[in-house]
Amino acid sequence: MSTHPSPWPLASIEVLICVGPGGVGKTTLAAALALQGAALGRKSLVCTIDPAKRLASALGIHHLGNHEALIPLESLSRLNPSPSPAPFWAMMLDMKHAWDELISNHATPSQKTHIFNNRFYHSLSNALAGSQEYIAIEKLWELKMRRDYALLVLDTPPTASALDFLDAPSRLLGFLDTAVSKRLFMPMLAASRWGFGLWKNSNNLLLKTLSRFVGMQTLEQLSDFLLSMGQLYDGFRERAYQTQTLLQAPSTAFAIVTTPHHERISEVQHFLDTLHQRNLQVASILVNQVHLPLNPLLHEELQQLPKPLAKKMERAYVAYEQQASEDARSLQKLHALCPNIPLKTIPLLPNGSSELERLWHISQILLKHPPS
Amino acid sequence: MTALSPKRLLFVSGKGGVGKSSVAAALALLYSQEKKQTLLVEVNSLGRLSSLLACPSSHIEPKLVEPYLWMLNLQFQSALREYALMVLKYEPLYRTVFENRWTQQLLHFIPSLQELVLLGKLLFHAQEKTPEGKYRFDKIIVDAPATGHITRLLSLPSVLLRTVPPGPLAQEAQWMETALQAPSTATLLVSLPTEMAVQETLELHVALQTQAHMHIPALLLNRFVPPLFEKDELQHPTLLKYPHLLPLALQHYTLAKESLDAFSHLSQLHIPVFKLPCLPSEYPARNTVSSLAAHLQKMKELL
Repeated sequence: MSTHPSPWPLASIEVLICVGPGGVGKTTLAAALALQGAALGRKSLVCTIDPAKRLASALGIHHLGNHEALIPLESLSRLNPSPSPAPFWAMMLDMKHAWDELISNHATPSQKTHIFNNRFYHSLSNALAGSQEYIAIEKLWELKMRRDYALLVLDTPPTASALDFLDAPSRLLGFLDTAVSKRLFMPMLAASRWGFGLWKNSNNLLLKTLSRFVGMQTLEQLSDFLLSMGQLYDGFRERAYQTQTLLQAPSTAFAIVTTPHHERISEVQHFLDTLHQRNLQVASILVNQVHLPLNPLLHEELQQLPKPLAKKMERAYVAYEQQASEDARSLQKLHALCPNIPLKTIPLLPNGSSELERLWHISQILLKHPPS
Repeated sequence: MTALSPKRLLFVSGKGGVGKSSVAAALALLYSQEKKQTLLVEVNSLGRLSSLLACPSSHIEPKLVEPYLWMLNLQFQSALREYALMVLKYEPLYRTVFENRWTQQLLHFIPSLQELVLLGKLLFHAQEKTPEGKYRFDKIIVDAPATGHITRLLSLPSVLLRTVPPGPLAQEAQWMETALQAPSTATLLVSLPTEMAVQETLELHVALQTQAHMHIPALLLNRFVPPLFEKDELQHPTLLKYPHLLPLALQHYTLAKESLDAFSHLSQLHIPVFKLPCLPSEYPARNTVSSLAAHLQKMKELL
């Protein structure tokens, strides 16, 4: 180990957000990073907001829900040199439960009944795209402000949606803080006091035009829903503001996860650009599933095998070498793309004896210094 | 009749990274080479398909990029504008109402509006006809979003029908639902020979059928590794002597075993499963897509 301070293991980072294209192993690496935190004595949590819900299988457990669950680490004791790891927690954001919980926590009993019975609320909390991102913000706020985790690792959905997540606080603030609420809600509020007839005859051009798209009745039901949520807005606004600040805090960083496939490189570039534009800190680029070069001795060994076996070995060798040289090319390109950001490679791993052991091996690889 | 021949509108989906875009591009190449008017659609993309096919970057309207092959990149803002103008029929009103900051903020806040507008534009082109009364496109291939998002996208009309009262929005949702559940519309699922990908495919299959009532006529198992070593060969005394050879043989053996396991798991769905080989990346990327297309073409029961 060198004596120079390394940006890794991110001792100063309290919130680490894993972003990246789909299918690169974000969930697994996020879990490994949180496990590493725990092994280093920091109480850690990995939380996935990916609707694909792959965290449970990455941890080798059968069920994981909307509540934080303590993952037992006893089975790692023979691998773990540190005698007492800090607790390692995991959770999966379940949209419906998280919305219900949010309303229950912040609304009065009568508001609660009203909201839970509204059809718009059902769609919002169950099925509508975009509401996952809103609830994720609320969850991040809760986990950061109301719990005592030293390290929070967040796993996000693939490409376009991960960026939606970044924009969700400002979108919510934009909506609540500006004249939209005044132009749209105030007339609704006034109208609701006098009955909807008055609103129907309103001269508001915006409302009239929108009603041609969605119908007056829909707008009425929607406004009823928005009004029933009315007293929760101040809380939404406050938490969204705090979450936005949190994302930009020096103790928050992003890790871009990718595989060494050349078609991923432009996606990594896109993530880098987006994060830089928003002044968000990129801690590392993690390149997963890399075919490391084979030992040159292997070729000599191959010559000494009996013929039929040698032929098969030769085919396996050629297939692997092809992948390895492609991976090496992509890694070079990635290095050139972002020379200032630490790049970590995680080799393609054979399946360990358990999922948790596999995570442990990955977390150890991530701890090592990047090759100079 | 093959699995895909009666399908005009085909969504290609699966877990992230399974090769959806390559499969969608390869299918589009095949159909266009058969002289079918083919529309290849990407959603909010950064131009992934154009770079895969080495085509001019795709456009917010269907654009002919080579004989019989059209490309379309669905984008929210432009699709919304088109739709709004269709309803309002008066551009100044559109500009007053839609092109101000407040409306834009409101529109961004309404969950699923984006998906609805994109789906609307896609289905409009799926039903578009020529003056002779024929469909404008014989085949429409959509490089669809990954698991989670695809179910939400395709079940959106049904969700809206349960949510909104009768009116213009419900009418829109109704024709979209009908179009999505038509026998000529289907989702082709792509999977990989890993436990995680297979599990996700099984779950996605259930979700698409129960929530979106989608037809799923076939599954593609991409990057299938056929077996090479017998299990007892791995215990061969000669092999055990060589510390560098053994891991390589084991790695290959594991990949092949996972491939076979994945195939038998996916077969439980009683949907035809087609194996695609693990192809090396080539430069330019279009060569890889062409190789994939050549493999697909051999699958007589698929096309």
